[in-house]
Amino acid sequence: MRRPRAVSNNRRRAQEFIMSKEQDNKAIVGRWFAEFWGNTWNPAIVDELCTADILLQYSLHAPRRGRADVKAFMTAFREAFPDLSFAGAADLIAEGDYVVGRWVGGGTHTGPAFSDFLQGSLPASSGRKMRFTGTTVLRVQNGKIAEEIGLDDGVTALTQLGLIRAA
Amino acid sequence: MNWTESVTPGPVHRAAQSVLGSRARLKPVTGQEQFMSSTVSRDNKTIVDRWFTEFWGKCWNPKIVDELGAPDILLQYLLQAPRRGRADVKTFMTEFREAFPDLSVTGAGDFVCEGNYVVGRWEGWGTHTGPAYCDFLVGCLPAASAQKMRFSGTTVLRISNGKIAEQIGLDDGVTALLQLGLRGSA
Repeated sequence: MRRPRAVSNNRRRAQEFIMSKEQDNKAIVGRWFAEFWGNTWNPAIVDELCTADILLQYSLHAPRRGRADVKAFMTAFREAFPDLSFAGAADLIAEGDYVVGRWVGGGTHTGPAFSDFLQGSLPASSGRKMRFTGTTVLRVQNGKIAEEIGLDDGVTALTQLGLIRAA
Repeated sequence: MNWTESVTPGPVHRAAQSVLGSRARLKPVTGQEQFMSSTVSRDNKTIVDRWFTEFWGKCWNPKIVDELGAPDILLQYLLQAPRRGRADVKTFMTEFREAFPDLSVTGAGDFVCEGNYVVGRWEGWGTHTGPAYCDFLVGCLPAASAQKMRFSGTTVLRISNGKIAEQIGLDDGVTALLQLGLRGSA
């Protein structure tokens, strides 16, 4: 067991500084998930919380780069799935510049034809529903989201949407 | 769960600090707590690093399950049914490696570690040259199918008293199952 005295004041202050940054990063990611991925979409959040060259990468979709591209991605996703909504499924885990979130959510395809899934297209108003889980690792740089790299449970989602089938 | 409520926002934290004064510490901020917590994090990373090397890496060491797995360890990935307990976890890996003798997983990025949790990103691959394999939830591979898989994943591990209590992972199952011929485009 280490004694409290073994920790120098500078060491302690450094730890507090790091911890405070991780709490700030979690707060940023909390807002991002609520306003980008939650049930209410606020397009202004992209300019507010993302770096200019933000990378958004999920296993179901082609990667997107930059604020305009990321906004276009979400705008089209929500036109196709107007009830789209994702929410946290466990506490956020943060260390250094990274925040990891586990989530669950989905939506119903009632909008125009959607061709953004790498595996295939949905015809307009297909009525198909998806609900699946995922894990996302975000890198926060000076208070802005620089990278969002996630894995979706694509087998579940694409099977529900009828985009993959038993071989 | 609402993440905007599950954390202490930085600006609020700082504002409260200035109102309450530097002696009124909001959790979790004591230096000693943080120091202890970072020491635990380092130990947890060492445990997970060994686990990835000896459980998932090129050199499979079955004893690692008894050494580093909690008695009721939970192993859960999307492609296979969840496994519970050391014996079940050993069986899982023994059969996986009989089917895919060249199975190997390596880290892809630094661990992210907080409290009892360690998150690892990885890339794994293997060739099915062994007996018929029916552990994938979506279907069976016939013996020596020669199908190859190469895919990425992210795993969240929970460490309790120096042992791995939970290993819950997401794999890029679409990539793996298309490569193995177990799923096709609709």
